[in-house]
Amino acid sequence: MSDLLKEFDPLSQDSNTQEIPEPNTNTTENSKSNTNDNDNNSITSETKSSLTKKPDDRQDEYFFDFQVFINDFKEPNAEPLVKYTRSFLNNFVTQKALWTASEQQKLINDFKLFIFEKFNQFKPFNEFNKVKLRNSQEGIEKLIMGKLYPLCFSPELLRKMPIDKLDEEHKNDILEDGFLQEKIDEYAFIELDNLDVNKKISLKLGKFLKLAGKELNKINQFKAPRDKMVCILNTCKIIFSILKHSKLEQDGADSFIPLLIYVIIHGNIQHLISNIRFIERFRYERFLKSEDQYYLSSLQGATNFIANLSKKDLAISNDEVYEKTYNDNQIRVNEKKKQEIELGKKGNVQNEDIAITNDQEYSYNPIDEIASSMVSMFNDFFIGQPATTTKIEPQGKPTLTTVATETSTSMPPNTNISSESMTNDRKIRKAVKKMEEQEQQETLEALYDMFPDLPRELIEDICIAKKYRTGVCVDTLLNLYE
Amino acid sequence: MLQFKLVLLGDSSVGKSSIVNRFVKDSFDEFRESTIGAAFLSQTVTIKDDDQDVTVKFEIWDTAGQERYKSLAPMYYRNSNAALVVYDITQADSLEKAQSWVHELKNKVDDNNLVIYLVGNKVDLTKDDEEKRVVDRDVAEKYAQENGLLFNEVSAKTGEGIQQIFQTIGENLYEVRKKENTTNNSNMANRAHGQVDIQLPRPSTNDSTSCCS
Repeated sequence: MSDLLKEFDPLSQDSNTQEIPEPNTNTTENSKSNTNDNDNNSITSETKSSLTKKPDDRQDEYFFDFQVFINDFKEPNAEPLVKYTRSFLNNFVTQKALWTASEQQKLINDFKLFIFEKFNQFKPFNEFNKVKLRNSQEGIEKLIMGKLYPLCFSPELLRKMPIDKLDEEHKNDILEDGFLQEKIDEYAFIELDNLDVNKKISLKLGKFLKLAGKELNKINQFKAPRDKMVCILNTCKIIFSILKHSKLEQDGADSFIPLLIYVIIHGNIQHLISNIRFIERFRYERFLKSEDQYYLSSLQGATNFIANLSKKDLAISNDEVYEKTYNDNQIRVNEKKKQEIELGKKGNVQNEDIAITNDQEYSYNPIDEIASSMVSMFNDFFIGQPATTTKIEPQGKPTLTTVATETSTSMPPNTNISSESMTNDRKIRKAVKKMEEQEQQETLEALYDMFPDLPRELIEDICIAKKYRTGVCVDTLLNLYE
Repeated sequence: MLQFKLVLLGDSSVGKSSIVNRFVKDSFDEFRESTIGAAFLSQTVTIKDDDQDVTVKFEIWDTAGQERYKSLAPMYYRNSNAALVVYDITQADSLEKAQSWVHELKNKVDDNNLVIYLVGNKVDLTKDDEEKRVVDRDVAEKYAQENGLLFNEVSAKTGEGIQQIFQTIGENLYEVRKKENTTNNSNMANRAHGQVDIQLPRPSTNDSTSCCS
C-alpha cells in the first residue's frame, strides 16, 4: 500500500487500534479542544457573522461552529457515521493516486449525499432541527475537505508533483492562475478611471480598496470551501461599504463590478482561479446558491474580464499618457520576470530537499491551522488511541506530511518522539496566536488610515466589539463617520 | 414557495437598478434586504391560482451595464428563469442595445421557457414634455410582440408600472412551472456533475482501517 496513504491518512495507520475510544478516554483531548475552542471562536467569528443574516430575514438563523459539530460527531451513537467517513476518506486516497477534478467532485458529492442521508438514522443527528443539521452538514464538508485539501486544491497538488503529471483540469487551474497573474502584471497600473468607475467615487477611497484586497487574500488561508466563500463575501461587503460611503450603493452592479475588478488587479491575490474552481467543485451544491452564487459568479466574471483584458476594454482619456504608462510598466514587468527566472532556478534546487520547516508552513497557511489541529484531534479519535498531544501535530498538517512522504523514504509514521511533538504543538499555537495578533494590528492600522478623523481608541473599541471582522467594522465606522 | 432567478440587463444609464430598488422597496411583502449589497436582491410577489395564494420569490441578479463589461453577462444569465431587459425611452440607441441583449438571450440561453420582459423606463420624463420621448411605444411594442416578449413602459421614479412587471413575470413563470410539473416530474434529477461515471466502494462501517500493515 502506498506510503502516501500511510502518512496522509492517519485513519489507515495501525489497524489493530481502530476501535472508537470510550468517551472518557478522551479527556485529554477534550480539555485540549476546549483550549483551542476559544482561539477557534475568534477566528471563525468572522465566518459566522457573515452567515448570520438579519433576524427578520429568516427565522431560522444558520450558524456554523465546527467544534459543535465535532462534539456531536464524537458521540458514541454517531459511531457508524464516523466509520463511514473514515471508510470514504480511506477509499478516496487508496483507490487511485490522482483523480481528475471531475471525478473528485463527483465522489465527494456522492459521499455528502450518502452521509447526509445517514444523518437520519443516528443520534444525535436524527433529532436535529434544520439549523443544527445544516451545521453538521457544513461540519462534514469542512472535515473532509480539510483532509483532502492536498489532493483537491490544485496549487497544493503542484507541491507534490510536477505540472505535467497532473490531470487536465487541475493543470488548467494552475495554468490559468499563471495567465491571470501575467495579465494583472501587464495592467498593474490601471486606475479607477480606466474602469468606468462612477466619478463620484473619490480616489481617497483607495485605502478601502486595499483593505478589500487584503480580505480577498485571506482566501488562501482557509481550506474549507465555505470559509473561502466567506472571504469572497467579506470582500464584496467592504466594496459595498465604499459604495455606500459615496452614496452609490443603489447603483448595483454598474458600480460594484468595476471596483471588484480593481480590487483583484491591485490586491495581489494568489491562486484566485484555483480557489474559485475549488469552491465550485467542492462547495455542496445546495449551499452554493442565491447571494453566494451571485458573488462567486461576479468574481468569476471579473477574473474572465481581466484574463481577456486589452486596451480596447479600458476607458482612456489621453492615449499618449496611456501608452507611456503601459510601456513603463512593461519594462518593470520584464525586469520582474528576469528576476523570477533566476529565483526559479534557485527555487528548484531547494525543492529537491524539501526542508519546509514547520514555521514556514504556518506562515504559509496560518489561520486554518487551528481548524486543522482540530481535524487532527479528530484523527486520533478515528484511530481510536487515547488522545495525547503526541498525535496532534503531525496529522494536523496534511500538506506538510504528504510533502514529507514524497521525499522521505517510507518512514514508519509513528516514530515521533512525543516531547518533540508537544513542543511543536505549542509552537503552532504560539505561531497562530502571533499571526492573529499581527492580523488584528494590521486591520487596526488600515482602519486608522481610513478614518483619520476618528479617535483611535474608538476605532480600537469597535474592532474589539466587532471581533475584528473587517466588513462589519468598516460598516460601523462609516455609519459613525456620517 | 417557488423561487426564480431573474437577470437584469440594459445599458448603465437606463435606470435598471432603480427599477429593482423601487420594486424591492415598494412591495407589500416584507422588505427583504440583501446582506451584502444592492447587486443581488430578492423579493417576493404573491399570485393567485384560483383561490390560493402562491408566493413567488425572485432572486434578482444585476449586471454591469457598461458596454465594456458586456462579456461578463453570460456568467449572470445562465440558468435564469427570467430576464428584464431595460431601455430608456428618452435615449434612441438604448432600444437597440436592449434588442441586442434579447438577441443574445435567445441565442445563448438554452431554455425555451425563459421569460423575457422588455421595459421602457423613464415615462415620467415625457409626462410634462412629450418631446423628450425618442423611442415610440408602438415600435418597441411591435418588436416585443414579434419576438414573444412581455412589454411595458414604466417609471422607476414614480413607481408607475413597476410592481406589475414582477407580478406578470411571476404569473408567467408559475404557469410554465405548472405545465412542466404535469408533463414530467423527474426531469431535473441527476443532471449535475456532467458525465463522470465513477464510483467509490460504498462507505461501510466495518471497513476496518483496511490497507496494509
